[in-house]
Amino acid sequence: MKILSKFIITPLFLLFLLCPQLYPSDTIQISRDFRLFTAKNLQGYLKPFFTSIEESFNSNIFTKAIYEEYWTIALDLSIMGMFIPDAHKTFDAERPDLYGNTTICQTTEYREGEYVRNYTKDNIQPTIYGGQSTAIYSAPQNHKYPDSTYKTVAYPEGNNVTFMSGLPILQLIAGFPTRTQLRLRFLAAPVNKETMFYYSIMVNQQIDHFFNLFNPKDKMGLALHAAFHGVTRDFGISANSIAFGAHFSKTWDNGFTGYLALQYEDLWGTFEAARGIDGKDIIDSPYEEIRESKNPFKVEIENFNKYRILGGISYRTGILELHADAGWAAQPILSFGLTFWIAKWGHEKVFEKEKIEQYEKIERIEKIERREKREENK
Amino acid sequence: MKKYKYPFLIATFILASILFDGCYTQTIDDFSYYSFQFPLLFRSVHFNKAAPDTSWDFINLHNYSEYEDNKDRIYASEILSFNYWIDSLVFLMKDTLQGKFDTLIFDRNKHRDIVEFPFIIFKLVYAKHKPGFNDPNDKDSSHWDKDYSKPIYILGSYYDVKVEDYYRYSHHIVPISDSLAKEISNMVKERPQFWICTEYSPVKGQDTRIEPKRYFPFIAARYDMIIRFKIKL
Repeated sequence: MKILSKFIITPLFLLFLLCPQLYPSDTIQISRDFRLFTAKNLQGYLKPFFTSIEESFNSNIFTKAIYEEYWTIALDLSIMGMFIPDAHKTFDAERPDLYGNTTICQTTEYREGEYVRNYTKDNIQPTIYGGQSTAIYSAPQNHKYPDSTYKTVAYPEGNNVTFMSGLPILQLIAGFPTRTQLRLRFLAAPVNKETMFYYSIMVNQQIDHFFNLFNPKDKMGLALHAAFHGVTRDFGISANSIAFGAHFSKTWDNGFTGYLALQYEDLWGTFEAARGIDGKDIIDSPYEEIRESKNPFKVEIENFNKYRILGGISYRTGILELHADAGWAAQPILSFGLTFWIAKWGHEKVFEKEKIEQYEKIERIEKIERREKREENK
Repeated sequence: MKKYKYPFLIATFILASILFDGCYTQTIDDFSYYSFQFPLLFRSVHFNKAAPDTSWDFINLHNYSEYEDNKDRIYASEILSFNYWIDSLVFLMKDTLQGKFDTLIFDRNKHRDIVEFPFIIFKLVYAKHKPGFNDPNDKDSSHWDKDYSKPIYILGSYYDVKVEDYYRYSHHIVPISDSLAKEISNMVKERPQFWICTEYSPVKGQDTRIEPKRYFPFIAARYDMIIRFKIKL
């Protein structure tokens, strides 16, 4: 639960943290004087975090691409972590609209040892994974409202994260004789006194046997996979993620399987809250959105990642399968898991055929040996 | 291979557990704190202010919602930089023909090389309650005294301050050195009430033997401080 609270609730908590009054109602409400973020800046600040979430969601969807023609049930526990590239540590933050208009205000920012005055281009600030932020000092040029509000602004800082552990995943696996596998995840967690749900459905379908691509003795497989994930909290949070692609595997006699995959993936959604409209004091902020308590406070949930190339190995012995893989994505990812194959039943056609072939082979060898002995005796 | 199967599995599992336990511990540590900067904006307004002189402005962080809302979670606070400018100035200029003083509102385009301070120095002095008062949230500066038993810190020193260069310009930023910031940090966390002392030198050309004080009918100065708060989640 501690891990859950850190990984799912952290971005929400950060948002709520500095709101003096967050009302536990149906609609998520933030106080009127919440001035740390505009919606656009919160979006940029959290985008790399949502990328990590998206990559977590779309990890451990499959291992080997050979799906047996049985009914199977398994439980899989997986963990993963993402390496955060430098590009995900900063974002171009929104400036107050009249910064740069020198008749309204004179601004200065101290960047990389230099004083930059009345700059209007990039406003590079740290994301949640970044480091220190840069304040923009501003001297208003007259004392009339709203020009007088174009004062100094400062920004939140990042946590200097270089490796981000993903959310641990517990999933139920069900295999079908059609060489189809279904994986399901479900989680519920309280967020601001309302329950937030995470659910996920993933389907893997082996396809190589339709086209006789490989000799079964080579123990190679090709499969397609697709996944859909949903995160929802009534009134406020709604996010969806998808992934689809293909994976290939080869199993060796020593029990090891190597697998490769290519997949497309994405995450989208919204976080919506209402700014309180109570209070008579003027909100003294150079951001018009904050000053005028514009509603709704709507943050588009976005991510950087679209594609992943993945390579991994698994090793199965008895009911236990260990698997580990590395993926090249917007945030390079490592994952590791354990699958417990709980039950298997159904028509074991291939297995029986192999057994018969083995017995026949043994019988043939024994016959040859007997014949050779007889010939020797003669 | 079968011979090594179980040792291999156990070793892999232990190694992976250690590795990922370390990663998760690190990630939880990374998100145990949250830092944000916030500007502490202060306007120091004085009527009939004299030079040379010292002015005192009281700051109680309890007045600021960013501090007040998070005060129980604040793990560290740090003053990062300081900025000073003159926001408004009304000054007296002698009319050499008529021999009387005109009162003028400063205009940075018209009044060049007229008012210059050889130095202006800003110091941070901790506050303590005057006898009979003990509310830490007390915002009334008349209830607070200067605490000279604590160190006094120089936040910024400005030399050859030509008013036209400081008049509603924001580029006189003084970054606070790391060592000073750390020193002040612990104090600010425990004593969020302090005074800013501003020492104005005589005006350039002012002979203090003849003119001990030069008066300005009105002066409004701005100093903005950027403070970093680190809060425990």
